[in-house]
Amino acid sequence: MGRGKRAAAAVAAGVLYGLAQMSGQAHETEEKPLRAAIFYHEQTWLQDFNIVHEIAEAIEKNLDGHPEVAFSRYGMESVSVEHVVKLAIRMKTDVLLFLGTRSETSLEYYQALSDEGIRLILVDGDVEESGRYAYIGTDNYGVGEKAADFLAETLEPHAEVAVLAPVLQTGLRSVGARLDGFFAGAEENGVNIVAQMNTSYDSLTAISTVETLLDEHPALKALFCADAVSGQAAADVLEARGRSGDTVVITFDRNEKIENALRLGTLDLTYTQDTETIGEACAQALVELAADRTQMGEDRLFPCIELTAQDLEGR
Amino acid sequence: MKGKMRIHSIRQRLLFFGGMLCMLLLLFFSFFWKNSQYLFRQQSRLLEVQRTFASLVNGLEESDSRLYSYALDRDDDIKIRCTALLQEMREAGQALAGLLDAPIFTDLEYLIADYADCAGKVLEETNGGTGGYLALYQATKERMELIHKMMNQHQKAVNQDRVEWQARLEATQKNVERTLLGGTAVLIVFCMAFLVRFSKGVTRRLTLLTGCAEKICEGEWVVDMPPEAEAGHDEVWVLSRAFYRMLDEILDQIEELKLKEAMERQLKEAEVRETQMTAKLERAKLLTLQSRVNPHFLFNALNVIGGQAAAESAPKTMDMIFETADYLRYSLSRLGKTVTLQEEMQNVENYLSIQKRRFADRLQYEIREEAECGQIWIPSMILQPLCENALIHGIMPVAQGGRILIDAVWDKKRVRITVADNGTGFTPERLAQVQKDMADENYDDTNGIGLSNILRRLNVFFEEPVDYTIESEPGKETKVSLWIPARTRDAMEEKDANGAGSTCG
Repeated sequence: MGRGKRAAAAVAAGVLYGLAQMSGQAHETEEKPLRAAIFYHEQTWLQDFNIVHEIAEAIEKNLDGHPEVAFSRYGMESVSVEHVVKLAIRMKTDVLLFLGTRSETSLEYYQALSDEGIRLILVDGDVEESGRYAYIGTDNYGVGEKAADFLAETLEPHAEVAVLAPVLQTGLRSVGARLDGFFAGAEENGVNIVAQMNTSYDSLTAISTVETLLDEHPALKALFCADAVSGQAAADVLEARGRSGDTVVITFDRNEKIENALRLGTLDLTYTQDTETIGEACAQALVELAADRTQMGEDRLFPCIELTAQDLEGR
Repeated sequence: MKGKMRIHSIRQRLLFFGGMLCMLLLLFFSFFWKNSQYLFRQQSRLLEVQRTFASLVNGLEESDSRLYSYALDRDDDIKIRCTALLQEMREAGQALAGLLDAPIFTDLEYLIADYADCAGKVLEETNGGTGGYLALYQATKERMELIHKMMNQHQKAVNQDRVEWQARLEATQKNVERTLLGGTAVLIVFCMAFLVRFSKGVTRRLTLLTGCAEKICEGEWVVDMPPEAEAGHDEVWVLSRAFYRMLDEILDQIEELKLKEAMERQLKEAEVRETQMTAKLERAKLLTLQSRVNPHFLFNALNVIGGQAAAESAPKTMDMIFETADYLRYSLSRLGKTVTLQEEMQNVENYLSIQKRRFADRLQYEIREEAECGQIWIPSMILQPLCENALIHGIMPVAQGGRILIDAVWDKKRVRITVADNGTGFTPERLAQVQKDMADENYDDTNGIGLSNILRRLNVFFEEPVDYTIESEPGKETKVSLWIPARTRDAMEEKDANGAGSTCG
């Protein structure tokens, strides 16, 4: 082929390609995308963090480039099970992602979801009775066991340990699972639990509870705090009493105050949830479900990240 | 075997260029059309989103107001308008979900549909008068508030969408502008490249060809083919090649002609030399004969006889003797020499006068000569043979005799000498034969009329062909004409000085 013909062919091919690019409408499959919605509290409460919000953002990030999943997230003032379920039903969404909460009436609404054919994926707290499609979140039970193991290794035998938790008041399954795991681990390792006290998500109440606990059990060597508010209160009270080095404090979640406490040594260990990994797993589950909407769900549990003063060095 | 050279036609190249240009223009046009459509659609879309969103907000307020009014008044007109409004809200919700990709707008679409369904039930329940509409109305209000909250939240998304699309549109517009500039530059470069190439390939070679033709017109035949003329392989290349090949062939032919001319000149010079040698030889023979005859003795004898005739009172005899003596003297003394036309004419008159005495009334003659013609120089004994031919072949065969006319007139730069008689003349066949013989250079005129010998002597003498004509009509006339170049004595002497000699055949 001559040089002129080659040039002509190249120009013609370029023109045809350009025309094709310009005129070609992307004939994408017209199959309706899998519609999924997640609801979470708009506010960050007292802990300065919002686990579900972070998970929702991670899901959104990981679903970028997946048009087969139409994912929407809602930061709400109120996220009661009733309210969220009603919304999901009215929105005719395919999948509802929500944090697991168990109350007297929640099972009824979970059932309504099931009746409408809406799949439920629970994050940050599992409620097995909900008939959920899957639980994708932290292995709260496992992390409770690990906390018990840590105390067994750290403390002398028969050292006194106390438990602080808001779980009995709120019904949050994540806290309950942590406690269950801890108690199981403690029993297995022979950890001497001398007291269990309830707190709420109120710092003042938590401080008061910790002070009472320390008064009643002056020989206390460790505190297992199932939430960040309790953990922060325990750290503050122990510091005020000059017992920071004597008593081991384990808590959950992470914010600026907890990091400072770890650096000061008033807190010994915190377990934080891996929201990025959980969000990625949720996104993957949604993509898989979009590809095959008949498939059965599969639970995906992830360990917490352990954070100590050593881990914060240099930061 | 080498195949025929492929010709890239200029027309084909122009068509190719035109095709390429059209394709590029088509591409640019398509690009701009597509982008302008895109910009227009997206601008419309942005306006439509704003309008639809605003209509939904208003629709919520309006529908609530109508539901309330209908509960109070039970006016069917309100119900109809409310139903229509709810339907419009459904459609607006669908339109919004179609306009905006975010899934929250699909959620909103369903929420609005749910609201519209609930509101529709309120209208039906109110109309039925069952009293259960209050609970339904409450549920509708609850849905409306929820939608309001979500729409407030979605307003951010709508605004964000508008900002994003505005940025995208501006980027697209800039992209279009850049592409316009780039495309125009590409087109200009493409056209310029083609024109430069075309100009270099075609116009330049045409200019070279024209320049070459101009040189040839000015007489400069030796023109080398420039290397540029070999480029191209198109029509210009074909023309150039043919032109230069033709030029080469013409130059070759010119060289051949020059060579041929030189060879002919050499041949002619050889012939002249040969003729001169022959003439010298004949002159030597004549001198030998002359020496044997001893012309002085003969002339003295004739003079003595003439004197005796005068003493015996015989004047005619005396004239005849003196005329004969003059004729013989001229013939012998001027043989092979150059004489004036006047002398030649005088000799002819002597000859005819002698013959007149022989043929008496059967021979009439006349000699006419323009005065200025007498001084031109010609070889001797040119006219006498012609007169003798006219007498012997023309007059003598006729019983009553005839008339001979000798005429010399000035004709431009030559002198036309005519010898005519009114004797028997030539038959057409004989005339044709004579003319054919005259045209033959190798014709031996030994037994003929002697004209070819005369012409050969004249040609050698003047070194150029002497024009002549032979005209004859049987029983009427025969006329032989010679056009003699007018050479004077000075011219002949100058020629003699250049070595040509004054002797002739």
